[in-house]
Formats: sequence, C-alpha cells, structure tokens
Amino acid sequence: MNARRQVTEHLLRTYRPVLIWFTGIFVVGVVIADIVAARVADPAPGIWMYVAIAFRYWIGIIAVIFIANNLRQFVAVGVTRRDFMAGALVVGVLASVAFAVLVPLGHGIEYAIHGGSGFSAATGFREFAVTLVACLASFIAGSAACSGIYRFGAWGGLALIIPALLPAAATTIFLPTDSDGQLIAQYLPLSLALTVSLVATAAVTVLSHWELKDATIRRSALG
Amino acid sequence: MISLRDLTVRYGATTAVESISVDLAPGKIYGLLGRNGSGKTSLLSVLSAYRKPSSGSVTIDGSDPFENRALMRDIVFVRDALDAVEGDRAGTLLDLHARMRPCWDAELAAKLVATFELDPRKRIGALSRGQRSSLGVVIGLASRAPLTILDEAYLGMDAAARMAFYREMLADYLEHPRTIILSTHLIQEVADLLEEVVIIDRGRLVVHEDTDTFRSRGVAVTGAAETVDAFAAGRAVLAEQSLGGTRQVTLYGALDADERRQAESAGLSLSPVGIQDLFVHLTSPERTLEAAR
Repeated sequence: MNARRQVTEHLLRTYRPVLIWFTGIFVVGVVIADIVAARVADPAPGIWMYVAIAFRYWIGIIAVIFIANNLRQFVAVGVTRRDFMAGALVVGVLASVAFAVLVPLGHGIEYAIHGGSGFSAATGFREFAVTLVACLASFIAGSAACSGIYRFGAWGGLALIIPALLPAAATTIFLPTDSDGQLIAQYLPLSLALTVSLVATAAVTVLSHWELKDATIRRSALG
Repeated sequence: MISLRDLTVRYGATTAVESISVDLAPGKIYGLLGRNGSGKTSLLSVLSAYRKPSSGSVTIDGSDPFENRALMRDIVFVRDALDAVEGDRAGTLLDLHARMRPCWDAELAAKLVATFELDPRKRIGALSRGQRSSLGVVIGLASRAPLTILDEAYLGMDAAARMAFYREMLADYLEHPRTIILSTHLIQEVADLLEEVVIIDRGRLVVHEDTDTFRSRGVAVTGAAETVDAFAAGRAVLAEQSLGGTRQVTLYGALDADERRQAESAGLSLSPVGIQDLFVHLTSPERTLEAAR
C-alpha cells in the first residue's frame, strides 16, 4: 500500500469517531430543535441551514489539527511531507463531500418535518455544490494558515494568514446563504461564484504546498 | 555510505553546524559526541530528512534523503521529544510504526515493551519521561531501519532500563547489523558499544575515527614535575594538574614504543585516558578548536 493511502487511512481511522460523534450530536440537536420549532411557531423557522454552516468552519479546524498534530508523526514514520499532504488532502475532500451530502439531506428532512414542499432536487444540488466548495475552501484555508505558522513561526505565519484565508473569504462573500439555504447577496452568478471560489482554493493549495514542502519538522505542535 | 559535504546549518545569525564533511561507512555503531548546543541534533535532523541544510549536502548511498520516499522509510530518528500525538495511546503509535516500517519486528517490539514494562493502553501524554524514552527505544530498535538514529534516547531512563537498552541494542545489532548513530552524553556507559566516534564541538568536526584508535590517542603521564614538563614539551597537552612536586599531564597523540620506553626509563608512569576524559579535554571551553585538531 502506498504512503499516501496509509496516511489517509490512518487519519480516517483516528478522526472518524470524533467526526461521527460531532455530526451525530449536531443532527440530533437540530432535529429536536426543529420538532420544538414546528410545535411553537407557524410557519416554523428553518434551523438546519442556519447551523449547518458550522461544518465548513469545523473542516478548517480539522486541517489545522492535521498539520499541528500529525505532520511530524508521519515524517517520523518515514512518510515524505508531500505524501502526507496528499493523504491529508484526500481526507479533506472526503469530509467535504460527506458534509456536502449531509447538508441538503438534512435540509430535505427538515422540510419534511415542517410539512413543507418547496425543497426540490435543484435546491438540493445547489446546496451540495455550495457546501462542497465552501468546505474545500475552508479546509485549504485552515491548512495554509497553519502551514505558514508551522513553517515561518508566529510572525511570519501571521503575514501569510491573509492570503491563506482568501478561499474562505471568497466563499463568505460570494456564496453566503440564509437559514433556508438561499444565496443572500448574489454579487456574481452562482456558476461564476463557484468558479472564483475554486480558483482561490486552488491557488492557496499551491501556497500551502509551498509552505510545507521543505518545512523543518519541529519538536512540538507549532514549534 | 553516508556522506556529508560542507554541511552547514544556520538558525538566523547562529551557526549550529559549520561546514562538516565526513563519511560514515554502513553497518557500524557510531557515537556522536558533543557538548550541549554543539550541533548534534541539527546534524542528525538533516541526516534524517527532518530539515534541509543551509548549505552543503548529505547523501546516503548517493541520494539525498530529503523528501526521498525510499530513503525516509529506511531511516528512523528517535529524538528526546517523542514525535507522537500526545492523546494517542502508546499501542496506537506502535501500530502506526508497524504498518509503515518495512522491517518492523513485532516480536521484538512486544519483547521490548515487556522489558521496559510499558503499558500500550496508556496515553503518550500520560507517560513519564523515562517511559517516553523507553517507547522511543522500542520504536528505534523494532523498526530495524538500515539507518537508526538515537538522539539522547535514554533521557529519564533509570540505570536498569538504560542497561537493558544497551543490551537489547547490541544483541539486535549483532543479529541484524545496520548503521546505528547514538548521540549521547553518557559516554562512559556506551564507550564499549561504539565502533567509531564522531566528536563535534561548536558546530565543527573535531574527531572522527575508530574507537580504539581514539582511545589510544590519550595518555596520562605522571611523575616529577620537571621530568614531565621535559617529556611533554612539543606535544599536545590537553590538561595538566600538579600536587606538590608531582605533575600529571594528559597528552593527545599516541606514543610509539620508543617514546614509551623513554618515558618509563625517565621514571614516568603512563596510564590510559578514557574516552569520556578525552572528550572532556577536547571540548573544554578553554581549548580552541584549532588546538583540539
């Protein structure tokens, strides 16, 4: 088995229980809140999309944890930095896809609980696309921000945080959604907004790779 | 063959390793000796692909180990700060190495875990300093990596655990020869294990030779002060001390048979100097590097 796949499998094995617990508690909490809302308000307010935005920030935190916690551990077992980055990226993509599926699914279920009928396949697909792009952007932004600090220390890393956060900024500006999953301010058509966000994400992926490709392996999490 | 050429490591204005060139033949146990801050860990970090050199090169069998997939698998670097996730259990870390290390010996790992009385269920963050070191030793030895680097791997280990470490290392090395680099301050304890010594001081290479040759370079000459001074004239004197009319000098440089006869006929007594004493003399702050060479 190649090193990248071993990295992916180890990270999934390690973080899957946390991910499942987090998602499970989150889903149960929202379902309870939705049931209560349906009983006390008419029409009941949507809660799922309002709080599902947390997924995209959470995935950014995962990226930070990977670099701060796991990079040196993998280099210590003989994995190259680029294999670690590739393996971790696969986990980020898998988690982004999982969240992107979960968001429209939860939204559809919420509609069903509230007895609504306005949730269509097109809505679901749009939410899938927006969530996927936002989660990928957040993962890469978290990764680049942490890589900068890991490689250049607190001050050097601080200077690189601004470009590192560009993908997250792009999705926040161009793909903001309300509690019903509708895009709030359409500065750009959806397809162009998605493209701009993906381009920013790709550019910052290159930045993150540059930061880590020959980083010194420090003794502690962030040196 | 491990080859370092003009290897330099700088941290800002500080030079940790300065233009070191040395060749290390495979299949030997090397002792890397140096005072605190002499650049040992920086040098080992470059060797193990943990950092890039500021200038110069490192090659292992002709290839640069940095980001080299094949070579990095064959290098294990155990440093005093265990490279592990604090929240993981010791057993999880061992499982990770077992999956990733091509020559991992699960049987040896289990034996060493028992020898050091480690509890694999315990979280790494909850291990004592000595237990963390023991875990590092288990990883270092059970990996059976062709290049095994142990950087002060004994920290916090009690005398019994250290003796067990040396015993197990030697036994496994004899059965599975490989290149082992042992960086240590406990020179006397490991002196008999080392086949070659590499001494660095203030970032520069001071000595690299086989242990017996190095050991033979030190001789303590004791006798009447005037006779000792006459004998020592023109030789490299590492240290001297006097008590009344008696003086002892530590000379650096092997004496041939004629010189020994000359000393004995002059009433001087000659005694060997331990590796640790030689090291202390060669790296004492009063000595300049040029004099040590």
